[in-house]
Amino acid sequence: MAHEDRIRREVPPAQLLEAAPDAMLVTDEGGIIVYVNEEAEKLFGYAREELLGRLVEELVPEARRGGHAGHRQRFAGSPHARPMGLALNITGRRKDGSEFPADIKLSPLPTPSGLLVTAAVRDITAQQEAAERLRTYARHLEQLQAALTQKNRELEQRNRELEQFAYVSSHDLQEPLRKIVAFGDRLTERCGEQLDERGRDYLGRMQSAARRMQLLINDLLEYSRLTTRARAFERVDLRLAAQVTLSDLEVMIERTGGRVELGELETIDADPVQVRQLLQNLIGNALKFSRQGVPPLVRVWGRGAPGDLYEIHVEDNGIGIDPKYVERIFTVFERLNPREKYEGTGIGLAICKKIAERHGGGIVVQSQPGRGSTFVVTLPAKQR
Amino acid sequence: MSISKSKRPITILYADDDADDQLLVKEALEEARLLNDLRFVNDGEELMEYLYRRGEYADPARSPRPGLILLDLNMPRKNGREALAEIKKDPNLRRIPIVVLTTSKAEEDIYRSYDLGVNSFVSKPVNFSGMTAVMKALGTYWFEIVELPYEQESSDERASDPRPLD
Repeated sequence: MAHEDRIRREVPPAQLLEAAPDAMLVTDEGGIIVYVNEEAEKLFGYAREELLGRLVEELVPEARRGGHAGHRQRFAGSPHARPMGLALNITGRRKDGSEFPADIKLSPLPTPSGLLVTAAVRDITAQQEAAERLRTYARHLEQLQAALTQKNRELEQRNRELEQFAYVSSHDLQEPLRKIVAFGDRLTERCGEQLDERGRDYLGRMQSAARRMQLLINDLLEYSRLTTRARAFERVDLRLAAQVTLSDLEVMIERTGGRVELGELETIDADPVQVRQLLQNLIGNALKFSRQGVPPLVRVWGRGAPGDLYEIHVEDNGIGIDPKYVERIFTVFERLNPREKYEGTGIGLAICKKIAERHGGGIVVQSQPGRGSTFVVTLPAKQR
Repeated sequence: MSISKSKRPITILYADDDADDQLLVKEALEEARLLNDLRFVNDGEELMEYLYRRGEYADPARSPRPGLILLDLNMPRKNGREALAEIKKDPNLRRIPIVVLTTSKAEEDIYRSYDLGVNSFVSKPVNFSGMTAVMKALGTYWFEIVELPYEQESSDERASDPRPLD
């Protein structure tokens, strides 16, 4: 038979095909197997002798044989190399009847006695399983991401509600408190004489507590306004903003006998009102927390930082902060020093922190107790 | 002080639903020694009824035309913003100076009130001496410093005149 001759005379050097990592099969134009390598024996579970002389369709599942024969005939009609990975969804069938997904590369091999076709076949079960696993992971990740996005939206919403609540409640709390203070004033003025000294003392304490509560509520309102009444970002000349702040703080600078030096400060994207508030609080603190007998010296300067950030430094020579408190000072109404010595409700730095964070930045402090503090606010130079 | 050219004390009409504030304003006026005729309405509806002389305000002798309106913004039925808009749209009422007196310090309230033609916007002071100072300042400003158009107040004329007030 012609194919038996070809087996002997026209097959490519066997060593070459044996070296291939894939199962190699050579067929003649009629689809008769004329050569197989060892990988092909292993892949299909046949001994070499069992395969030679058989129709190649015997290596695909019965249901697909007709289709495969059609493919083969079309290939013989216009032979061209067909690379692997074209996802033709080829299925191989082993001797034991089990099936496996396969990728196949076909190459025409003209010989003097007719066209042969070389087929390299690769079992892609592992590949497909890996791909399926990847798809599963991807689906899982998508679900997780969707869940996270949803959670995030909920948190943002919750946050907005809380801020709105803080705003509304502090606004509404002011109302009755104003009456308490006003009628307390009337009571003191009109009926104070009728009270004994102890009664007037009680009244005085109530009045000063009510006034203090007014301050606290005002500050709370201001704090919640940072987000509920925020403005859009625009180009802000920090030097100009600092100069305006200094003129606002003129009285305080005079009273403390302090000096504020402005270094280099550039223009960044920011909320102009909040930047002034930030500078006012930081410079105000630097002037306020001065050492006994040492006139405050405050330096304000800026510099670019990696990642298109801009740092604003506010340095003072004041009382400094014990390192163990540096986290707490940024909390609302947190105070380290007695009210009698340093006035204020303790909201200033919490406001600074919130402003920095709203701009996508942060604030830190470096301090040596008894020598001074430096507050560093890092803000993005450009806002998207 | 606080006596108009016709030698009758100028009427101040204060629109506020808050009885405490009505009392505080009354006492603050006394404390500021302003002898004005102070009258109260409790919301924007009542304010408009007074100004248009409707219902219980029909008698001009008992409900004289105010020379100054103090207006709270947040009131039931008709709020201060709506009343302000109506008054400033009415050619017979819009010359009456209106001072908003409110707890609101919200920017949008300030803008909106001036856009509607309010003459001054004052935040309610947080203590009584602040309230007295505001009343004293308003009295000095509106009744001593500025010239206001002379509004004739004759009941005979008004009886034959279908327009509100004058």
